Amino acid sequence: MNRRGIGLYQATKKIPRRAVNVFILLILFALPLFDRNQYHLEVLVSAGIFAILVLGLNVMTGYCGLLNLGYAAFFAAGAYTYAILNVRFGWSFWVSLPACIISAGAFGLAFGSCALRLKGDYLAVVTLGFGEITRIALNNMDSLTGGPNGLTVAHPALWLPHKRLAFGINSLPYYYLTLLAILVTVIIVSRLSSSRFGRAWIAIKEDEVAAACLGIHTGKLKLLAFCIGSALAGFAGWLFAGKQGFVSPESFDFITSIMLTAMLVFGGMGSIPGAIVAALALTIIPEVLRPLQQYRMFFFGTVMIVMMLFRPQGLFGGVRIFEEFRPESERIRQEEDEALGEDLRQ
Amino acid sequence: MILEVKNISKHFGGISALNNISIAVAKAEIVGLIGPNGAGKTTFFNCITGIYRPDAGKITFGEYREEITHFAAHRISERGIARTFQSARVFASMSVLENVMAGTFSRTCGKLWGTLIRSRRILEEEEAVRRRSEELLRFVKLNSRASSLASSLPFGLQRRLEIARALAAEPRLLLMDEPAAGMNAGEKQELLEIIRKICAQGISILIIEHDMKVVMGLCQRIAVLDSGEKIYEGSPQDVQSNSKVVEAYLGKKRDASKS
Repeated sequence: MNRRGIGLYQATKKIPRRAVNVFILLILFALPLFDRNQYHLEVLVSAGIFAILVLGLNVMTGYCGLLNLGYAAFFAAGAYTYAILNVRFGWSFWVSLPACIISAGAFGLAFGSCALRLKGDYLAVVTLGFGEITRIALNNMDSLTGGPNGLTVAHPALWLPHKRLAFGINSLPYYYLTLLAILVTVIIVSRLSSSRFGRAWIAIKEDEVAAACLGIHTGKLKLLAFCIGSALAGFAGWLFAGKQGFVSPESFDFITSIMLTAMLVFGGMGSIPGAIVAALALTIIPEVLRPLQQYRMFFFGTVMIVMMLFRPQGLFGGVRIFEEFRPESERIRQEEDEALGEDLRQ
Repeated sequence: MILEVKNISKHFGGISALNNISIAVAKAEIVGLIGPNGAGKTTFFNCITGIYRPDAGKITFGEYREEITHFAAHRISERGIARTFQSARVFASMSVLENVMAGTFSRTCGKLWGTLIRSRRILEEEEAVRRRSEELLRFVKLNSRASSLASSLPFGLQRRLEIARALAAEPRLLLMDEPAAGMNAGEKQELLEIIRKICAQGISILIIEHDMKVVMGLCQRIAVLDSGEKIYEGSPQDVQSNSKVVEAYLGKKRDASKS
């Protein structure tokens, strides 16, 4: 991590982290009170779903170093599971949730157990192919998935006492649902990250041989990361299908996978706040640039290039270690160095 | 004998990297492995730790002489063999403390579900791991750098971090690949002390080292490898005076009468 990164952190560290988190959460919960613009909420919901996806991809790629360029396939697995269960079997939105998570996770398990024999770029190419195969399969299995016409599914509804509250096409309920989903995802990912599993994943990413020599079953743990990453994509897919009320293969194309990877890199590999901020930024920037019409993507590309030039590790990249173990200040660091010098002299 | 290696061979294509090597290590013994560059010392370590599969021969480990010849690396580590690497392979993006904590992976049993709901058992285990890791850092005198990034440590200290990380896996045999390389005299002295202390805990050590002062001062027994063959095994004194060993390092003595 470079000096600038530490500076950024030093500036914010006077405030307790928990307070910051609660504050941000309160603002997000209160936001619709000030801004009820459907379009704004709609963009935020899309960004939120992307945030869950990037957090899931972060488990695979950010922690365990498994480059996945077909992540949209697992997103599709979750979305289509809900769509098919709803259309063919009449399952409701809430009941389908476990099925969506399990089916996407199982999808990841099945694919991962074959593909994880490969490493690095080779794995990336195979996942890329797999993503495309999934999309093409969905496009052609007309009888099950409705082919390119897609499936129209029911929006979620809540049964309050004496009243059925349908979500419909109003963005507000989806905003809160997405916020809740992100919260759950962040809790899951951050707990994993600071556990023995998180340490083992990063060890595998850093040096697979050294990790294996420490008794870490690298194959099993990579599969676990892959599986959890896919299950989270399934979770996002479930939310996406319910919110759109419609699924079709074109939502899960190669560009989506690439966009998710770009978000992960933009935010910084292995960083939870990075994943969320990047998902928000890279969803909102193209929307803000809409007036520029065909120059929109040009500006978007410029932003990415500038970012890679001046902060290649991403917005929050490399901060992970300092969250818990960072020295209080440079002064303490200096004292440490002096103490260490004494150790050496003894 | 805690480790017994019998007639191990390893070929890479037409090159014979190891040829019929047998070495045994007793409990709490320090055995040195020396030899010129390219003699096959690191290959030998890689065969024991499961990174390479030996083409022939047998490796047994532990009181019950369990055969571990074709075990995967992580299973060998679980049995109680840990190692350090020639090039100090610390996990660069983790803190020093996290590096050591990562070493305890196979000795902890926290399950996924417990991690997600943060059960009491997980919290206790995590606390125990942290305490144990801090203890190990104190042992190698790195505790003052616990919060630093592992890659920010100078090379000599990364070496010590690797030792602490290997000890976190609770080994009964520790393989050390040139631990003193690139260290100054003071650091070497510290290292010797650490290694002796490890041995005093009943952990056996097999050590590859070029620095003769370190090897001679430490090892009860020394084996000498040259071009994949074991050419000699004996006490430090014998090794120093053995003509074959001298030849391997310095070349054949020219016969003055013939020239």
